[in-house]
Amino acid sequence: MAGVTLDHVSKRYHTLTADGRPVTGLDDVSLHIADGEAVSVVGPSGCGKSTLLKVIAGLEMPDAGRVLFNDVDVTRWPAQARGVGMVFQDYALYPAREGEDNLSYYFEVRKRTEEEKVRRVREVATLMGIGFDLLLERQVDTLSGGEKQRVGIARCIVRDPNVFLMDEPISNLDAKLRERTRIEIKRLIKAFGITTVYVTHDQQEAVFMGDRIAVMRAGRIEQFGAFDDLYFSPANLFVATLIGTPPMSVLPAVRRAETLELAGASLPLPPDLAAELPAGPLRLGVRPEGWLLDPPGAALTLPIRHVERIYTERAAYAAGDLAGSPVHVLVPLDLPAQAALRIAPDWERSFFFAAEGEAALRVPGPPDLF
Amino acid sequence: MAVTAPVAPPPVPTAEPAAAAPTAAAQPAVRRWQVWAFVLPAILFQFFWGWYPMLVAIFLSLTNAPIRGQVTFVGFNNYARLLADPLVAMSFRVTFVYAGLGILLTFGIPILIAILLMEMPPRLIRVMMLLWFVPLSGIASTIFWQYMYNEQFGILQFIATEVLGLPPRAFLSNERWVIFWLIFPGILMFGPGLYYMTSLQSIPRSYFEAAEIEGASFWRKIWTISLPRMRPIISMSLIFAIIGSMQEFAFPDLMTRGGPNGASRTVVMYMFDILNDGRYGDATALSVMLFAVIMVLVLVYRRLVTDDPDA
Repeated sequence: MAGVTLDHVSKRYHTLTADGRPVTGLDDVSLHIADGEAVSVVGPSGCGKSTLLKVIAGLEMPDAGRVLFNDVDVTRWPAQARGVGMVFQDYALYPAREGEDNLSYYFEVRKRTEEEKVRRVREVATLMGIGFDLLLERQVDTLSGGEKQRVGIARCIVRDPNVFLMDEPISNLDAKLRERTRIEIKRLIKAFGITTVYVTHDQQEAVFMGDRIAVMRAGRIEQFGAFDDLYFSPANLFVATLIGTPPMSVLPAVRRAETLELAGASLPLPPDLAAELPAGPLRLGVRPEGWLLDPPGAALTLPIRHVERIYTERAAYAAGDLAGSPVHVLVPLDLPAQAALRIAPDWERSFFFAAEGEAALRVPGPPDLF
Repeated sequence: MAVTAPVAPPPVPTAEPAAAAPTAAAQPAVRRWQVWAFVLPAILFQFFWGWYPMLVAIFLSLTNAPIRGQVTFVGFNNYARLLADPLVAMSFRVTFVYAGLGILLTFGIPILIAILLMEMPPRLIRVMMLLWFVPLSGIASTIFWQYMYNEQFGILQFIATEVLGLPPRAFLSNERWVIFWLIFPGILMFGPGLYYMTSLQSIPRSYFEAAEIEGASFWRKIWTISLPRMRPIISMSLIFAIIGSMQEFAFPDLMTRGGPNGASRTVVMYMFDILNDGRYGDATALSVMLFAVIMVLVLVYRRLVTDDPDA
């Protein structure tokens, strides 16, 4: 097993995408993943997260920078020398072969003994759980998506990889199966304690899979940290709006002395907060749970567009628009039917960003639980 | 896989009713009418240009098939006469060699070329696919090759004598080699190369990446990924190649007129000769024989190459 370090890695592509933009590579990416740690890489499509994975795997060579496995420089090593295992979004099982042949491919390629091959395949089949040996007897083309990915994962662990690389492994599965497979993968990652890099565009998945999460955009890592860091101390507006569902509401505001002018209302600011913020235009970010309902004193009026229930909790989101921006407010399920809500931001849980650009002026930081 | 191409596909509409449970009572009559409306043109087409001529040919091959006058039933006399004709046997031999050698040389090599080309930069791949797709006039390229093979001033003769320093060769007038030289252009210009390249392009990159991580060599990747994924298209082109090459006519006819001494006269060319002699009964009998031979080949092929599990 190995810790993985990317040291100022850059990768540029010279090809263009279908719509004529250059393919995103990596732009001076540095990242350290500890031995046995599971890291999620999340970002919009085309942010370079798959490239990051391929550079770690050795499928792409970086133009600059180094890739280290446990302090060993593997930058110029070919993929097969690195001992990584990779799971692909489209499974990439060898066609016209049985599941078992897919697992033993590695041993055939490496000319290992028959005895070792059989033993490892059996071990992994036991690890993978009930019914897995039945999948091994079948042609891969007759397997369902979920079954294919189970074989794909087994193919990856059958040879004891140093690093586990997963490129959106469950995004081709339907919702129910995605849930199950996600838990299955998590269980395996925990059971083996293998260093894992898990690429996904789904932040929920990223939170579930990773001990830490790297948020990427346009070939750069915007922020790398635990979920609470990303959620409560986002490095910039991009991370703030990417993490969290429904997304944070971002409203243009102006600070004048001790008040914040916002969507036609004037809200008094606590003195310490007012001292911290620059005067003039800025942007206020509030997460759905960061609104106070029916506050005493000055408040905003949010016309309710619709209310959607959160199926995992006994609560709902009320959605509307303020100053042209969508706003979601966490409300109790027994909220009486009404046309508009009186709300005000809870200053303790509010984010402030510069009016131009993406710089964060003030973030609440992770809550102190103890 | 359909052997004769334009057979209408009735199973598709008939599979429908099961899905339409709620309004099933009102539907069936309309459905049946619609099914026939869609299928009928294809059936009529296939009947008048496919089955009807075939049935008439089988009938005519058993008669004296005069242009005008009384049609007389002659039983298997036409066939007996053909079987006794040494030129028929020879033309079949030529056809088998032509088809066999042709498939051997023009079939495998483009697969290999396509696989190797896919390793090239994307721009070169596009140029190559374009070249393979450029519509070449059959007559024009035939005349071009006639010039290439010219024994006095052809380019190939120049290469053989001046560049390689070999003694001058006869090319198309050598009885032993004429078929090889007729097939040779096909190696360079065979069409399925384009199909191979598109089917190779449809293989997701991740398959090769997975194999690369496991340490598979270039050839192993081809053997375990490229070829299995190309199998359906290879199997389909092969059956068309068999059917097509057994009916070779235009190219050898223009290049050699069947010579020297009938060494490149295929069955269809001989059939054409018989037709020119006005022996219509014999010609149809020969065409029925060729049909039967091709049918047997296709059936054997279907038996040998079982349907792909993942086609």
